Amino acid sequence: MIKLEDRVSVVILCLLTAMALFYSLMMLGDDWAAGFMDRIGRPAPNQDTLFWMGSWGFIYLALCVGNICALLAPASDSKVYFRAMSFLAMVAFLRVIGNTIASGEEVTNYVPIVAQLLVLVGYSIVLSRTNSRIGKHFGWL
Amino acid sequence: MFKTDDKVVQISLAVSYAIMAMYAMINFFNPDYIISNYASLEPNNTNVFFLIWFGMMNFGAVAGLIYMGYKGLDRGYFAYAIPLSLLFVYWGYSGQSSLPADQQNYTATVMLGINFIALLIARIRGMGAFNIEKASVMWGTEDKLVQAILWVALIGQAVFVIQYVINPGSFIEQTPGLEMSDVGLRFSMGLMFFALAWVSTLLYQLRCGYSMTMIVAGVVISSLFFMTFLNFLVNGQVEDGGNTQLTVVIILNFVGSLILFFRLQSKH
Repeated sequence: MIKLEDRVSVVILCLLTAMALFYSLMMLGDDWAAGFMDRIGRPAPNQDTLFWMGSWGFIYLALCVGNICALLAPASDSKVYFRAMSFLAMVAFLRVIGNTIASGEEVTNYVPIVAQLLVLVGYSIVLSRTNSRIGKHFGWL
Repeated sequence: MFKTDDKVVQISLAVSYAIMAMYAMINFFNPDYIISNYASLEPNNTNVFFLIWFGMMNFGAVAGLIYMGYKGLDRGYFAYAIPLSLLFVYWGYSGQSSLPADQQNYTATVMLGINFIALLIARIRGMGAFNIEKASVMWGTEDKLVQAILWVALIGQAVFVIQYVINPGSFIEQTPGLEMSDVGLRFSMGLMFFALAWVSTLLYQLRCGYSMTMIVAGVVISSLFFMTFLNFLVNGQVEDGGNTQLTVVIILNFVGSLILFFRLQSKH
């Protein structure tokens, strides 16, 4: 049933899928979204913020399904997906870092930053191991 | 689709899919909508908790239907879904008929009735007689670990049913944060019906061989339960240590269903 040939990539994608599902549910539940904002030291969300967090929840859910689809297909069928996800993970990580620096406030919770870094590293490893990389940039990953 | 050219089977299962997906989405993502449409449902945490639970179970049915869409019809799924939908027609009808006439809402009962008829049509037209052919080995696999996990699942579901029969309110009593009420007890009956349907399909699989469709459905359900549980946990919403039995079941379910899936998936 799992058609992705590389076992390490399968393990990484399973972990990323679990992480995406967890974040998806967290963003979709108003109480959980408010709790998340509280844990990362942000102000309590208003209705508009909760609406947009809910939209992000559905995007996470779609990425979770995308990962499952990638598990169920040979690597050659998922190359564009892995490239897109690696780029998305890199941009998201840079944005987290940038926002943290720009806020100028003391970081109270490193979990979102570390989680985003792990997602980037995870997708980069999958990208390399499935021969989906174009060129040899960041080949050390 | 469903590895059959029979349009009636395809349409029947598409109807079942639409109903299950709709109730999965509404119950899980927007339980307040259901609460606002049923006069008997108070907007409290107990009702929201059970509606989310029902939504997660519906997502399992949706996953099973999608899996069968690619891999073909599976008797194990019908051994679960047909009794379950019939039980829920009774559940919906008996619940609404006990209310005053101006508070009754039979929408869900009618939808579940349509789902039952659709599943019955698909089962009879797509798979013929209701015969139970014995597999060469128990559970259809010689993998001892898989057999052990399936036995634990069968015993666990049976114990849940027995617990309900002995004390219908035991689940609510054991779960901090849930309030005892007539509606709560009715939801508890719904949980027992889910367990009963799992007993039905697991007994079928014990004799006829495991069903990959139900294992996929189980992975989806247990993953949703586990991630929901983690969100409750990190948000500090597990009151007074929570329901220990429920916590153990959610964790064992998640681990067990993952083991089943990864040990058996290569054959499908």
